[in-house]
Amino acid sequence: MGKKDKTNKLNIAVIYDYACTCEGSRENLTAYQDISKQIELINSVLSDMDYSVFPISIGSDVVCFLQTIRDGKVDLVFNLCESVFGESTKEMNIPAMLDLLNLPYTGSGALTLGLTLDKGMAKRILVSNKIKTPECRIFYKEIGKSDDSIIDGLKFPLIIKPLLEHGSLGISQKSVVTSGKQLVAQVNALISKHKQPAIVEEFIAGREIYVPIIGNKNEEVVLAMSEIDFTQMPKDNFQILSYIGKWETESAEYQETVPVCPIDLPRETYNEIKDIALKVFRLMDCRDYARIDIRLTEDNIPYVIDVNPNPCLDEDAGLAISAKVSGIEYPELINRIVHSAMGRANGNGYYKTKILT
Amino acid sequence: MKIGLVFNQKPKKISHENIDMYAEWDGPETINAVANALKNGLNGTGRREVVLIEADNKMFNKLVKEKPDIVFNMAEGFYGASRESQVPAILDMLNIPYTGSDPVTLGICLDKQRTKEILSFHNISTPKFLTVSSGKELENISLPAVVKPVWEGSSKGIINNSLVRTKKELREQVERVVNDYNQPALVEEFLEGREFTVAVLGNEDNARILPIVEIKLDELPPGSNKMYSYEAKWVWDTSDKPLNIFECPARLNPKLKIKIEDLCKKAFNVLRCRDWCRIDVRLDKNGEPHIIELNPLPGVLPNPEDNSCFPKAARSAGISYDEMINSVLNSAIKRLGEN
Repeated sequence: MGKKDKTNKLNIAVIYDYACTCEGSRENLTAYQDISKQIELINSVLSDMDYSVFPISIGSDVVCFLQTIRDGKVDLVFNLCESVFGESTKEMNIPAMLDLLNLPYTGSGALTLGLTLDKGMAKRILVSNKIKTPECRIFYKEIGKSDDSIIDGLKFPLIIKPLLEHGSLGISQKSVVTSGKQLVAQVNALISKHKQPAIVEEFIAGREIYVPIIGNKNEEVVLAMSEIDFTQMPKDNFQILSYIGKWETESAEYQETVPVCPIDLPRETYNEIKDIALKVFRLMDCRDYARIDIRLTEDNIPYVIDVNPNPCLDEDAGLAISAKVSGIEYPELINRIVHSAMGRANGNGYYKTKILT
Repeated sequence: MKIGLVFNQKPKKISHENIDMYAEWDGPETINAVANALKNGLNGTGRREVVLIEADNKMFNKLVKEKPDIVFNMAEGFYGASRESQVPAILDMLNIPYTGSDPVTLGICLDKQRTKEILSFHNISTPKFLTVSSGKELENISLPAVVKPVWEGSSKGIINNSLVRTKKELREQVERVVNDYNQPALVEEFLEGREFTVAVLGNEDNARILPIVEIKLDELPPGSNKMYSYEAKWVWDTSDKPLNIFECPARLNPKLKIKIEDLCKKAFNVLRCRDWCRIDVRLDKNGEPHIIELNPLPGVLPNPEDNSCFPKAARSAGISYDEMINSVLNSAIKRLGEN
């Protein structure tokens, strides 16, 4: 498998997490189903483009996985691991291991994945660089008492999210609270269910805009922005994209929170959002592809609410749709990611990792 | 208990130009000293088995084969910006507990920009800074400044000329860092005051600050810049004319001592350091302390003549080398028991 053949084809190992299939208990089973479809698709797209492709899954045996990558004479790893053993907190471990093997790979590096997965850390970096993001507090333990001091100056309504997840995991209508009592109940429920800290953020009731960016630092292309159309939602609902609304296609919430692309924005606001998104992409050392999530206040002031390096590459996911609207068909999108990663590996103007041995 | 000691060992032959390159890796003497300390344990810890595991690309197999109960991590890693994160990342994957900080903290602390952003967010004093990727982005920088590689630990990449006073010197040093180290340059406000390094042992509220070490910049040769540079470490400090540059405990008035200790504890906690860390501090012209950087994988050369600061601080507190190493291990064991 994967021996460097005489035609000098580029050997690409497509790696992904197989583990989420085993336990039905986790909410992100849906995310797995996405991945298996995605793997097939990306394999066929890359094969059509005359790359030599082989998929490798991380099963329970990490050593075997690494052995396979090492013995495969891999020129590039296409990293589709959004989790390891179904745990998203281990997403960053894959680039760290690939760095140790000195193998080039697509997407962002370990620290970028680790820092953006922890919404608290990501926000600290944004704030230090004077980029607007909603005020927040982090709760590491369940809250025993309930008085105003627990929110320490934050203004209701507040939104409560798991500190260490992407993809709307742990988000429902209950996540937005308007009183201290609701806040305590929701924070405690979240900590006990997700076994991780809760981040409480001021909720911005406004448009939620996604800005996909592809390429390497200083050569980025900002793709068509998208947003969620909340107009079909019941009037007394909070305008948020819940876990069910994002993934469960049969649900009412899914039908009521439809992504739209392209979107209409005043020129000035569009430019402002674009500049902020690019600044965040560079600041966080994002590579090859990423999505910056922004909420607009009623006065059109953009706040960064999330940074997603390595977003979902499914054919009908946001990034691919935005690419298409921007005139980049799916195979070309995948090819651009490969080229962007290879450009870095070949040191074309990028910081090439120094080899010490 | 079976303890895995994971390390990177310096190659046997290193040319003089490469001293700096391998500065963070350990020599056999250090690795053996740590292994012995772990093997002997402290009174009443019982028999322990220690296996040595080099952090190379065969490490995975060795870890799986040996199945240590815990790893004492002193590996600095090989390639790239987050190299210190690699070994903990792999240990996390294999579900093997280890001493010291997690991959995110190690990654942040090796990236001086990220470290300073997190510190600034928490209003912890750190010199003003900017990162630049070329000699062309140098407008609006106030001088004098210190130019350093952004992704290196300790004083790696810092030479006597890293302190720049003119635009020309600034450009030269930025270009040197970008070309020689293949990474952006951190341009940092130069603080003219005293310099210290502070060893922290333990966790959160139980974190203990060991006696503070001062780097006595006045001991540097006349005419040199007041910085602990490559030259100070490797050129001017010779066995026949040793530089008497360290003093521990540092002479400090009680108020300043407490201020430095509190600052270090805060920095240790906001960066979520675990078990141990060595923190570099410098005073500004008003005598206020600032955090320069954190080393969550501090060097631990066993020979007192090598002037390794963490062991020096421990000795000054009456903690032997073996006690110090075991104290790191015990902090980890206690922490893991609590979670």
